[in-house]
Amino acid sequence: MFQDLFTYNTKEPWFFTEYSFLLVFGIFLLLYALVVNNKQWKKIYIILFSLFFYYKSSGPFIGLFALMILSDYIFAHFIYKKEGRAKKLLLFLSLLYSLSFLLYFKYSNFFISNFNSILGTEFELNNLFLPIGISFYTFQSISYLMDVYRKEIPPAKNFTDYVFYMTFFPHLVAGPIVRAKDFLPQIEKPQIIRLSLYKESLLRIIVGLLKKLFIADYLGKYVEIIHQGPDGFTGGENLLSMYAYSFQIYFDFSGYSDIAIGIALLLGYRLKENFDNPYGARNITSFWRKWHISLSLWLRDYIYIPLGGNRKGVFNTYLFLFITMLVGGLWHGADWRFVFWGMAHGIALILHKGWTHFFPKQSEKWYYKILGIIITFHFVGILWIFFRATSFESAFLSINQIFTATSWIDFQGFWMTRPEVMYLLAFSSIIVFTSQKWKQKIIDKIYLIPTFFWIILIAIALQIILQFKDDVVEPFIYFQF
Amino acid sequence: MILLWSMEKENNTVSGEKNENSNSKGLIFWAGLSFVIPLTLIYFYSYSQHKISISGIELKKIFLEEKQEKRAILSASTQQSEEQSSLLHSSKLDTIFDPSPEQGERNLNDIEYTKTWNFGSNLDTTAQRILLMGDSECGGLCYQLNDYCQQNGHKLVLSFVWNSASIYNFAYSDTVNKIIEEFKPTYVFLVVGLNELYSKDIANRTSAAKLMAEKLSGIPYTWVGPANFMKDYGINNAFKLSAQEGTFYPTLNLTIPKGGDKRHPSQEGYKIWMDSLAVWVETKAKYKIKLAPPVKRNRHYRSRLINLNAAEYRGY
Repeated sequence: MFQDLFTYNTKEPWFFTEYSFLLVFGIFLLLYALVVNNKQWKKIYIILFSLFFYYKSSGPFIGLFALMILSDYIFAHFIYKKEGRAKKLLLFLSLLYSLSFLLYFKYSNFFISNFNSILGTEFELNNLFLPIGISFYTFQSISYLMDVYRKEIPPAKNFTDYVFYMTFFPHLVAGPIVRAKDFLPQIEKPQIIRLSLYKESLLRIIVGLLKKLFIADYLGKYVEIIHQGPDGFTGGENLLSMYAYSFQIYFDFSGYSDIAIGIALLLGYRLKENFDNPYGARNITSFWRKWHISLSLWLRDYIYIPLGGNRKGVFNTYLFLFITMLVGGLWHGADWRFVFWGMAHGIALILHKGWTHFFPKQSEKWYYKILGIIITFHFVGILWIFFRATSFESAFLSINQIFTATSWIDFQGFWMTRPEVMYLLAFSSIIVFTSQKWKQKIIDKIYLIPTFFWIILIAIALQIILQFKDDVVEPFIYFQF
Repeated sequence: MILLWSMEKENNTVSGEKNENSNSKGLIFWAGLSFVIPLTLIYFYSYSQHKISISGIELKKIFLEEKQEKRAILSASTQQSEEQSSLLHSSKLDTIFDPSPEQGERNLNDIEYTKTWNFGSNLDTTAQRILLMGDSECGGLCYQLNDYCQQNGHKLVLSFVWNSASIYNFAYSDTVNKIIEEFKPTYVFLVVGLNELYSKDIANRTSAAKLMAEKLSGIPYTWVGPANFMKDYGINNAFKLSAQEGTFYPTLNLTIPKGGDKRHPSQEGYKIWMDSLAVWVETKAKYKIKLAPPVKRNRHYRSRLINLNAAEYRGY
């Protein structure tokens, strides 16, 4: 067992949800208490654990990651010192270098297969394994280089700080995408760990684990059944699968973000929130301000605004918006389904922008709010089908079933045969559509639990998860991006 | 407790600069313990032989047992398939059934079932009172079995089609007992599992399958596994381990054409399935009965047929 703990196993990479990780993390914290008040030792200790974590998650790709960190650090210092064309050239080279890893591992097969199908060539596809988290840390690297280029931040003071920022394990493999300008200042002035912070972080971790293992994984089983062959199921079953996946992806990713934020907090660092009740959004623009916030902001700051933003006329604004969402779609995966998904969101954002241009005042009547939430949720949900389906054909089959083969009888039968899925869908709806104000009231009550009982709370949560979870824990959905 | 007390004191009093600007080591240490203690206990419990129940609910372990069991099954099945493969290679000729002029033609799909078990060649050639029961797949198979029964002089006393049913419906209801009592079959075909291919509560379903096997004990039977168009999560193994040795027919090895709904076999699929099953029952099953291939297919179905839906009638 102990030998397994220190070696990389491709079949069992480390996730936050692995109990072996949580146990090692607990031991890590016990020792962390010894170095927490010594800045230098603390940094080195966290860096070593982060590298170990990445090695357990991605094995030999740690070398690739190290190479990227080193080159970024050197490039950034040169970029900061130079001016004019040399500076631009350096930025171009550094971005090209950072992006080359992502382009090769994630997109080379996509380009080759499209090239083959267009020109009828038969170039062989590469047998590639996508390093976990590459999309996230490449975007972090780009943001750092761009910020240094724009002189929004100076380069990291020393190599240790930069390694610390890039490798910090809570955000390493699936975000949130942390900006250097938000994180580097915290390295010198981390938060003081007090009782309130302790409770907040533990609650985030517990909630994250429950979201992922208790809700998302269970709903995922049902979604998987439907997407094996959507035309073999009724419209009602496909519709419920659409709802189930909408909740699954939310609980999966927000669960991960909760754990990441909770773990970072325990170490004294605050990562920015990645979700803000997204299914409560009244329109698609609002949805993108609440869903995967770190990515939305990244796309805005490093694609939309550099393209011209809203400074170059109405038509160009819409065009830039469309391009930005297209890149966002492609970031999620090298497949036309993701491109389509991004484009559809881009078009929806344009339409909504056009709508607000003609009707700038938003009605505050409660029924308009509910109508807006329902329309937005269903629009996003239908597009999630393209995200989840195994092919375009399968996605269209599922949508076709929803619109042509749904009847009330389906739901009655479903209720009889899969009541547990219905209970979970109802439970999920309550959670995602309840306002943050109400949730905060419950959280405040939980904070009243005395410190000693938190250990019991964790024990109960871990055992509840064991009682209900499956023996196969699904990897976090966003690990693939 | 002293640690906790000092921790609370440290955090709740703002008495000095040192307290303000330094982390609570005690609190971080306590956070570490908050993970280490419960997880150590969970691991310790998972590795121990003991089982703890609270209010009748057994506390689950970190799947160590299931992982070990899965590995054992996997290694056993790999070994078995290797053995089968080598035997198959050396014995293909023996397995090709030589049809008599009065019989129809055999489907060659059945070759792969040779040499799986050897219970001797005590083929029961007497006429049987056959009961076919199962989920919706049974609704397609009954017409093929009808052909076989008429060819071989058996009486298909009832086809009991329980649509959308799972092993729970069959095992935990007294419906099966009542049917057996009323129709007094001398041979039973049970076709179940399609609706639980994705189930992962294998332990619970294994218990139900064992109960079902007990219900059938005393009557010669063949338990027919579901036609798998997609991977299952162990339900076939659970049924196979629960049924008496040599009574479980693993359909998953067959390639069966899909029907229009993509969930059930096509008419041709049902024919292939029944042909293969018949060879297996005649040659490899624990309870062998005569099932020569029919000369005439698609005969008029004259037996009784009960059609239920688990969505409306659960049986318990």
